[in-house]
Amino acid sequence: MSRRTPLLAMGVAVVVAVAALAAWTSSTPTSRPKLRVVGAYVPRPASPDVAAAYFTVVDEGGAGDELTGVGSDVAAETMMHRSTGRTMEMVGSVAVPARGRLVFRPGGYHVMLERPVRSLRPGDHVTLTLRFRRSAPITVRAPVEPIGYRPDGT
Amino acid sequence: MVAVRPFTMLRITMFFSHATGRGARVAGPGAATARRLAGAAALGLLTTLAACGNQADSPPVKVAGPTPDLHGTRISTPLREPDLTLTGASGRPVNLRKATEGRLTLVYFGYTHCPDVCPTTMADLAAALRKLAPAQRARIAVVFITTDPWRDTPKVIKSWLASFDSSFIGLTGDYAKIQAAAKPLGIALERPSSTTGDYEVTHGAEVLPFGADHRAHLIYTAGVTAADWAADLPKLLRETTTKGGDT
Repeated sequence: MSRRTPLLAMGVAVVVAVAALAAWTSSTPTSRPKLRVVGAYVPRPASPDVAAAYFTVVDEGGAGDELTGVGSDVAAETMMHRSTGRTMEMVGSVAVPARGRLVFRPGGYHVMLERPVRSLRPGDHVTLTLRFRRSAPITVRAPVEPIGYRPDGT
Repeated sequence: MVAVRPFTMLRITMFFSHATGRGARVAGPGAATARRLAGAAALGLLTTLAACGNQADSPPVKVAGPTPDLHGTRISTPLREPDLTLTGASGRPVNLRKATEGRLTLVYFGYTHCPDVCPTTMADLAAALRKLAPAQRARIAVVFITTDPWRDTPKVIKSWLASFDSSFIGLTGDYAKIQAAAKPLGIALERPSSTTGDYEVTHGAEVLPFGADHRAHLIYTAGVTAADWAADLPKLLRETTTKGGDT
């Protein structure tokens, strides 16, 4: 009994130390953003002159970032907008929260694609390049979805 | 036992950061209430805007409060359906009241170059109508009144509406007339400073359901979902049949 006690205490101390180290390394935020773009789509536009793109930017790093612009292969002119009541306002950049997500969705933020150079039908794809303040640009292929499409099916 | 704790705490932290990241999204059981509150807030703004107008004949829209069983916001003074004749998508004159006589009429002010809110609103209404029985569907009219008559010709509107539901009624015409019809409904439209090249246009932030009595007793903000509309439309139809009468 007297010989086993120090061993047990040492064992517990090691386990606690290892656990604390593991917790410390994984909970300490990394100083860099680690971005992913998910759920990008373009609803089939009802107008031949304007379309919108939606997506979600996820930061799995600990620093967050800023979306500074979105380019597309179907429109020379693209603008980031936020819908506000009766109109929409152009936004220069939008924050991606650290370990959080930035959601572009109907009625909120959207990318306006002006005068698409080709007609967009479900099954087609649009290439979007998202530019950030700190991270390298991310390019995604956004499918054209039916009018009224919602990623969560609502 | 001691060793487990840091991991548990870590998991909780991660859960919360994930949950807060989704904070912008309105979902879950409180969503309807949140939307109604947002609607009431939007109406507050509406009331202010209407009150700021210099035309004495535009009554402010007064909110009576959220409705327990509907996704719209009840208003204390019903809004009168405008007696408005504009140009229809066919190019012929169409009177709003006559074209929709006896039907529950959902009126929305918007424009076809609108990338987000206007097509979303029309798509959600179309999706809701597809969920109804044909007999119910036949008793509902959807009217899109353009706030951009410079670009929205009858032909443009016809093609745009066909993307959602070809039975939707589209109206265009003189901007001053459209603006004057919108104003007493609490919809303050601003004339664009320029109407050449790319220009900004304002749209309605709400859909107004006018009953067979040519009155709207509630207002729906543009963010109401297709599912919410599908749930409410049969109830609105029941309300409008019991009311009857004409003005």
